[in-house]
Amino acid sequence: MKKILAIVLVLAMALSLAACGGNTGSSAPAGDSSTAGGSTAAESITYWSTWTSEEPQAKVIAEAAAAFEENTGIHVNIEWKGRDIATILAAALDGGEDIDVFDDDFQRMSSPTQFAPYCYDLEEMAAAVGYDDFAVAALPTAVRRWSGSLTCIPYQPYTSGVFFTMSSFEKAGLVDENGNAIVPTTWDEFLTTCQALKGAGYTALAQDDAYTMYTYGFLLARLIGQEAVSTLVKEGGWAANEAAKQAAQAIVDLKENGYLSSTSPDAYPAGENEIGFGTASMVINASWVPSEITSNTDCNETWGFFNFPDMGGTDPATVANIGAQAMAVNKNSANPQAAFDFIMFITSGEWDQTMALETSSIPADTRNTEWPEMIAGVRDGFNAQTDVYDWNMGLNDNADIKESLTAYLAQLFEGTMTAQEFVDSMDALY
Amino acid sequence: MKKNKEYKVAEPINWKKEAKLLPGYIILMLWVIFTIVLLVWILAASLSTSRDIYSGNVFSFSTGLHFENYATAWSTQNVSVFFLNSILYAGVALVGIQLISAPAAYVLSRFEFKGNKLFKNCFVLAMSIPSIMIVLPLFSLATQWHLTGTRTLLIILYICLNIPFTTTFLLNFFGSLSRTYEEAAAIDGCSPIRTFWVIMLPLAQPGLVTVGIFNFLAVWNEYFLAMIFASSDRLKNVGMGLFTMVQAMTSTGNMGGLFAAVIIVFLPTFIIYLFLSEKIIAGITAGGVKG
Repeated sequence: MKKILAIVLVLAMALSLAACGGNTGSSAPAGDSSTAGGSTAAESITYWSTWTSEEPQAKVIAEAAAAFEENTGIHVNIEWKGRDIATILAAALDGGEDIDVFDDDFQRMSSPTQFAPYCYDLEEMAAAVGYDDFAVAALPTAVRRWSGSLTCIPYQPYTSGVFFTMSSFEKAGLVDENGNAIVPTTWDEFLTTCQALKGAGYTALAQDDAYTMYTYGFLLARLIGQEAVSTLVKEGGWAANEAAKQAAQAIVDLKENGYLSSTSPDAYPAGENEIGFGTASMVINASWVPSEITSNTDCNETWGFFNFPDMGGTDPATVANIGAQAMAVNKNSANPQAAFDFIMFITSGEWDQTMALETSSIPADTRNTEWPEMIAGVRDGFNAQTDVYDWNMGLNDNADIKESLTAYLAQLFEGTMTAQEFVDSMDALY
Repeated sequence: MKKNKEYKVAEPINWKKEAKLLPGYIILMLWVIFTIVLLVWILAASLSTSRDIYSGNVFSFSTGLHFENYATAWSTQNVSVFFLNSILYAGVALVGIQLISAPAAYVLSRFEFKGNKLFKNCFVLAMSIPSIMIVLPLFSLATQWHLTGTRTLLIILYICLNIPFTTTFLLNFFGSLSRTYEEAAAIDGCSPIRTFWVIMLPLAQPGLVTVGIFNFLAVWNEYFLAMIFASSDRLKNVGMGLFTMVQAMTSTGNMGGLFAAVIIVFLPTFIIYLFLSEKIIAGITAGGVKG
């Protein structure tokens, strides 16, 4: 019986291999390195991508690469490395691998201790095309702040704040006569909003374990600014820092008042998925979250957004974590101008607009005015932003304490640690 | 003359003996049930939707059975390329490993010479070095010599990195063979090399088959080296391909497709075991009895 079953399964596999084996060539996206062999283009460049071939971003880039080749005659060999590019890129560049363009998170690309030293200085080429006139200003500003010059071109930017479903706000009576959401601007107003949502039967704020530092970072950076957060994590002095305790207390209060789920922090993405299932309302996250929750839960929600509230501290509500992916030219590239032209082709104009619409993300080119419907509510808040936080708002600046900080924050969100115990535990790490 | 029919008489169950084995049976049953539950869950998830999976209703099939998850996983993820690459890498590496390790194990186990013990110790030492330690220097060298992006490099690495284990494994099998075979062959005028290929190698077949299966499955599912050296789509094997599919489907929220891809990738090793389970078990135990 075992043998018969095995034979049937082998035959099924062999037949499907035979049927589908011929699709290999035709399913490879245009510009993929598997079709590069035998290219008769006079010039070609090689692009190592942080995307995998089946992600929507990769499909847009592949189509753009084909269009680029049609326009310029320059063939783009694309290697879809996925997120592991962060692991292998430095070794590849050190070894002299033939790479003209590469991309990754824009903070890693701009960091002098990570990929910035491998990047070609793009200031001159960017000035020649008037890049600063149409870029999202905060992004190249951040790149220049980190690396000292324009070493990469950000694309597919995201912003951050509080995302919510309109249906939950409507049910909680948090909409005006025109049906617009009444959004809080201060922390006290935020707590009032949470109470109304709780009264309507919702978990007011979803919280996943992957984003506990994000939430705490927002609270703390609002109070004392990102630079002071960075100093605190590097040098300690948590118990003596009133803001550190105040931010921790804010989390304790959220838990004690029942504004967080009883299982918070949930194992990602269970917490945010509760919004898609209609049992939670808000989440503090970045602008990919509506698309993510919709994909995970197949929900049909209309999304709203407001900036993380003002805490009455150093930073106003117009500061947020803004980030992006970024493309750079290898400083040893034999074709820097062609590589830059390809980057501009993808990150501005028609293909940037296509990227935004296909991936539900923000256009990197401010001349592209069409935003995806899912994040249309983000637009006003994004345009009003005045400064940029790093990811986790400076809390990442001490790798030695990061693991412990995450563990203690989990206990805060679980409700098993007081704010005083939290700051004392943090001080004990130094 | 008519042959007498053979009748098999069922032996009566010895309940006393079975009772002594009960704790073992209970542990085995628990493990089997656990494994079956996991596999059934994955199978159900492969026919389900992301919403049902995330809400914990994998077995509800509220929107029906979604066989299109398999079509999506197969057609959009280049799965046939991953399988063909894995077959190539595993098949060629298997032959290469056996061709090098079998003679090496034979010589080390049957002949006394200076450095014999040193070689054996070196093979054992090599087994203790994790590949993660040497992979980045290897990558750096491969990049400098422009060997990256080729199937040849990956196959060479698979062969070289599996030789220590295979050679050490085969030492016992060759060591347990009687010397009378070689003596008889020598008397008949057979050279030592011909003796090895014609007489001794076939006798070590259980060990060769067992270690061959281990090597095949290890190379088939291998991920880390493929990630470093074969990250181009056309070179990816099943291990790396599965990771790529998981990454892509996680980012697009297609969890049903993700589990369908897992089933597709898991099936060949499952089938191999169905065919070869008796040989694997025989091979593991065969080398333990001398004489």
